[in-house]
Amino acid sequence: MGSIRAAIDRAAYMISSRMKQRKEEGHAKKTDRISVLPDRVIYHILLLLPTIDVFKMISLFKNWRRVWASFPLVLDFHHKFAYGTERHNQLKLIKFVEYVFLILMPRKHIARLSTFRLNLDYFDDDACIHTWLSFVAESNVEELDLAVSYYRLPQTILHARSLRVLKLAMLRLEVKFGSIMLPSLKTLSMNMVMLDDKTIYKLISSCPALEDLDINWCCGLSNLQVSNPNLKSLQVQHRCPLPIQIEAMNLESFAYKGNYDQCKIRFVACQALRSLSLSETVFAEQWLRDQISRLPQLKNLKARSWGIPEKLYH
Amino acid sequence: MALELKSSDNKIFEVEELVAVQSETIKSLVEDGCADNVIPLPNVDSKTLELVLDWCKNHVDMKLDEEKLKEYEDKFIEVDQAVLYDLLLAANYLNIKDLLNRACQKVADMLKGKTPEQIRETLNIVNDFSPEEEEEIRKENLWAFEE
Repeated sequence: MGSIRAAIDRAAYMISSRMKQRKEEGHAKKTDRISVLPDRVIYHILLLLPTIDVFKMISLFKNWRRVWASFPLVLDFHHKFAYGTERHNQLKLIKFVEYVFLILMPRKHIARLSTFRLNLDYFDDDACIHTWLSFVAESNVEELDLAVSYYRLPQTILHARSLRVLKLAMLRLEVKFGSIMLPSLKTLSMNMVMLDDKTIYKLISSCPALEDLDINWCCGLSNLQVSNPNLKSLQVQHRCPLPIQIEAMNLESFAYKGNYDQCKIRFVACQALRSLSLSETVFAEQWLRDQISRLPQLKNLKARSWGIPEKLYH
Repeated sequence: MALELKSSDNKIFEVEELVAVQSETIKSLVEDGCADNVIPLPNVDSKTLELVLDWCKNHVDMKLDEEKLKEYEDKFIEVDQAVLYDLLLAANYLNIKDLLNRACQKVADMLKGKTPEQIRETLNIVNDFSPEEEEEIRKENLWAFEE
């Protein structure tokens, strides 16, 4: 009798625990965990998605839509020239252009815009980009990232009072007349930008809050003059010997990379310089000693004249 | 110096302080002098905590070897969805920046380039918009779905 009782109890226990397990599984299948993630996590994921995927996600989840609408707007547009038939590429391009306009035009989007990134591989409609940038200029955009081959940047962008970070690649910049006014700009990065000495000098001197400056492989320069009282960090990379004159009394770090050619750098007033790096460039030891003698705060030095064995000073 | 952490299912983990303070949450407890006794973590179960502590330990050990660390991270994050969400929530709660970033990146990679239908399938989700709301949103975002 006892053993039958025990067997029944055991069976009852097995059945009820299996039912509980199945209920839990079924319940797990119905609750999706992604839509109920904490706001901070949702926003973090949105920041890692291309704009087109962001819009898909916010159309699927109420929660995500709410989070997206309550944070500053980050727009990231990429269009690459893909291999395929010309007709296919044309259609893709038209769709892309429509889509950028659709997102940029609503006033509610412009009002929230904080970051705008545009990366175009092959695009010869400058007027179109001018229009997009005119929308962006109306906003309080803080970060602007433009990589468009041969595009001539309009001067309206150089009056964006709210801009803190400006990254330019492969485009053309020319400031002949008129002013540049970027009072909030802290970080300026130029990669393979076409601009002349006058333009770059004007640009650097018109950014009173500038702290970080990167000038990489820009063409059109014959004599680079960097003059800015607040600049803290400077990086220059160039493909041919370039005379550089640096006048930056708060500059703390400078890095230069040449193309295995003559180093033509002159420090005019860089008393605060702590960290100096010179690579893939040729200079005389005496020249280096002269520079060091004029840099009393220098702590980190990494300077190897190309073709001469490495010597590290402390 | 060793700290004691208690998971939601009451399992105690003994961890080096250097490893544990990669969690900003635990770090502030230590700095405020509240870490002398066992630190309860009611939002993290033992299975997840074990994984998280493995991440933290390896980030201390492999700090100088970027390549090895990346290899470890890529392998670590290859987990099924349920575990991924547990890691996400734990990294958020414990405020471990690099783990949170890596886990969010994994979710983003899962979602990139998919149509809404594919997303619904991948994530096995419930539609919480009303038919009218959904129609309105679809119209607004129609272009985003035409690939």
